[in-house]
Amino acid sequence: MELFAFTREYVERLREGDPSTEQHFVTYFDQLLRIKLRARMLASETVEDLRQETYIRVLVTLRKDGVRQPERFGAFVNGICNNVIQEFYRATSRTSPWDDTYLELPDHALDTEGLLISRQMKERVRQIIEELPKKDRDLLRAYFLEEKEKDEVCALFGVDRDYFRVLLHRAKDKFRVLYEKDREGLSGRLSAGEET
Amino acid sequence: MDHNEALRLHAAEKYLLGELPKEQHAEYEEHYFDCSACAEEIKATATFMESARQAIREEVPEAVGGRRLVPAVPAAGGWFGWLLRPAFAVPVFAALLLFIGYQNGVVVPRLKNSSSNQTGQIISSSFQLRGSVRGGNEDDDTASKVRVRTGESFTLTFDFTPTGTFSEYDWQLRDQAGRSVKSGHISGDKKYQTVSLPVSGGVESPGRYTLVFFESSDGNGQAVNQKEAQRLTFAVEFIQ
Repeated sequence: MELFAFTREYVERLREGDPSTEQHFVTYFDQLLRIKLRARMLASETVEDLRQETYIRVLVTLRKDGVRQPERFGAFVNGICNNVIQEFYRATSRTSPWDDTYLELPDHALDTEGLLISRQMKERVRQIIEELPKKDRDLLRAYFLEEKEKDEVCALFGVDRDYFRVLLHRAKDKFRVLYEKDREGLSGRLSAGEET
Repeated sequence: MDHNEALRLHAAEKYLLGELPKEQHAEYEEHYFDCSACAEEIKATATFMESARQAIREEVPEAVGGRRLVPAVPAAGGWFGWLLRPAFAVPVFAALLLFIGYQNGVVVPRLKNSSSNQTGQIISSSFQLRGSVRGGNEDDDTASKVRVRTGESFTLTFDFTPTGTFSEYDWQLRDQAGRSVKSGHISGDKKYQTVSLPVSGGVESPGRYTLVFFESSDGNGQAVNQKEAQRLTFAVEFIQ
């Protein structure tokens, strides 16, 4: 898997309004911002609003002041998003002074609704789940299907949180390998198609 | 938080499962925005979780309505199906009925019997002795009744009101003939209190019994002018 590294050139292109760089910027941070905002248990509309606000502020700040450490552009986006979240909470809780209780996260799994899931991804997940031992299969099904609290599901199956987390981690790793292969295969086919 | 720590902690899973402590939560957020490897990791984890949620829901639509976690019982035609075939089931159930009959008719009553004999050390009954009479009438028809089985342990409860003040009192349980069948000591601290005295192993024959308390023995256990301090009479009746 090829990892992306932010550079001074990238940031300059984004500052100058290069369309493909802007497209990459939005694509790269889209899911990260959704995950971060969803972790605050915010409503879907609020997540969308705050995400858009973050994009706008990043571009405005970039064009106005630039970025001191372009290689840490991700941390810069995160900082802007933190400011946006704080302002949102200030605006919605005027009756009480602002504090950082927005970071007091409930012990709930993150709602990942809103992520774009393709048919192919679901097929890969099914494949991975079918290959698991029956107990693990049932455990994941109980968690995702019944939407019970994970502690309740773990108690039902006689396992602890660590077991469940490791199970999830391993399944995700397998998924990632298959998914990367799919992507490589797709890009290979596209390249071959372009050459012919 | 650095990359290695994030990997070691399984931070992506913990974050998405809501298990990261507050401090680590903020640190991890800053890290995954800054580290493209961890950004890919958390994206993959979130995508896997959402894909799994959607895939499982599509896969088992009937279970969504049924809210069933435990797998259904296999159909009768499965591996255990042969157990229910008449050729096998009829003789087996007949044998089972015979066995149950034998258990109920022979084994269980025998066990009950032996149990009542063997549980001599288990106190199952407690009897309140009326009156705390010194030199009371042993022929008194109003004497307390103790109804037990032969050899069954029981407890006698009474008000301990002896004469004199001693650090310890001796007691004897005497049968109708005046023979001591049980004996023991009771602390002087129990004076003017309600006392429960266990009679382990019960008594061997029914009839009138007397619980007699004596003042003092010396510190060496030598009886010195043993003087009666209290006497309680009761009748033992055996339950058939």
